[in-house]
Amino acid sequence: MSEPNSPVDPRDLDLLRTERAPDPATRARVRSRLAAVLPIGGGGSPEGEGPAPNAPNAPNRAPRGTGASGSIASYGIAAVAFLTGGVFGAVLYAGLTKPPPPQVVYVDRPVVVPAASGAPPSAEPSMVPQTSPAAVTSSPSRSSPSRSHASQLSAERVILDEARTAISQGDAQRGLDRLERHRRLFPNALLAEERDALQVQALVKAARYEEARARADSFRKRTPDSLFLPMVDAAIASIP
Amino acid sequence: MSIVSPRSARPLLDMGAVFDEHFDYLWNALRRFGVREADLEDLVHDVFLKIHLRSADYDPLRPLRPWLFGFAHRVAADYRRLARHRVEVPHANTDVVDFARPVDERIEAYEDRALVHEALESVEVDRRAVFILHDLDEIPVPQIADALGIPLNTAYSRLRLARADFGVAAKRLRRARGVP
Repeated sequence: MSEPNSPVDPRDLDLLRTERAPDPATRARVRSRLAAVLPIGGGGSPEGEGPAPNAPNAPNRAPRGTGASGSIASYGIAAVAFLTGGVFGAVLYAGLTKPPPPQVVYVDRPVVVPAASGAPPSAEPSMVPQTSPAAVTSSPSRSSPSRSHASQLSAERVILDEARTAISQGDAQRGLDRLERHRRLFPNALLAEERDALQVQALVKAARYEEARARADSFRKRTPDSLFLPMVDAAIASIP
Repeated sequence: MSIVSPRSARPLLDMGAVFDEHFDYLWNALRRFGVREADLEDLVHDVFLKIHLRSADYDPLRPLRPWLFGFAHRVAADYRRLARHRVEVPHANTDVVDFARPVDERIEAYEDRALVHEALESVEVDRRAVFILHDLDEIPVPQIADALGIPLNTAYSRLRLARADFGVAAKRLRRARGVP
């Protein structure tokens, strides 16, 4: 099927394309919040100055312009310094380095699927593409599940901490919003029990007593041995 | 032997680079979905968290931007489903106003932008996603269908309907404001 030409006025499209740059402070704030839970590093591009050099699809940037005067001299000095440093470095390296340790190569062992599982036979072994764009790193995939698990735990922890802080400061609605966000973001949450217990607390603080009691009953039935049960009971007991 | 890269063997996305390169884009994508200014920060944060959690699903052989847009679309759709979130027409772009121009031209430009954004807000969210990706970001429809996980014909249909909705809304708004 061919792609039809747009009947929309091109001037309207141009107006819609006018994007607003977010406030650099907001950008920095989001970055630092993410850096607390994700492996994104603390640096990043300077505020509002565009993508990092290794960013995917990053446009090639021209080198920063230098004035005509003095540029030749500065290049000359830089070249001499580079060569001198290189010679010293090479001598030091030759004198101080030890022979490299033997390289250990890990090879994934194929997983044997039990015949009784009834699962269809897996596809043939496949190959990883040899090239990858700049956006991806060459981190070994064997560590990704645990890393992802740890990241999820940290991310959940941050949101629940925000909820707890809001509840303890008396802002029950904000606490409930955070808990709702947690529920939305993590349908298979690792900290679901803690979230549900906090929800009972928040509902009590918001004077939504009937909902709090209903949630507490459901919590008790679902997880009678929960470590958070005393917290739930205490919240219900505090209802006037 | 097939040459399909298994999900488990794919390299992870460099989230720092993704953030630096695509933050503005995703921010504006959320705005175009009518997310309130006050909620943008939380929602763009959620978008990046979701991207990270699903980064193993990304196929490096496919374009990244439509894939990222899919997260903004889903997060915005969830947001809009919550009744307490009133959506916002993102027209108050005072920082894209050219202050060197005469006042009446500036007002006119401001009103023009407000009008098209209001018209965009009248387009249903799923249709709007296809419209933004195709008519604004110039992404081919097959890639859009792939990124949003919808059949190709559905993508074409949504594009057609979105354009019609937008056109009707823009015309109605212009008429209401006495603009020819």
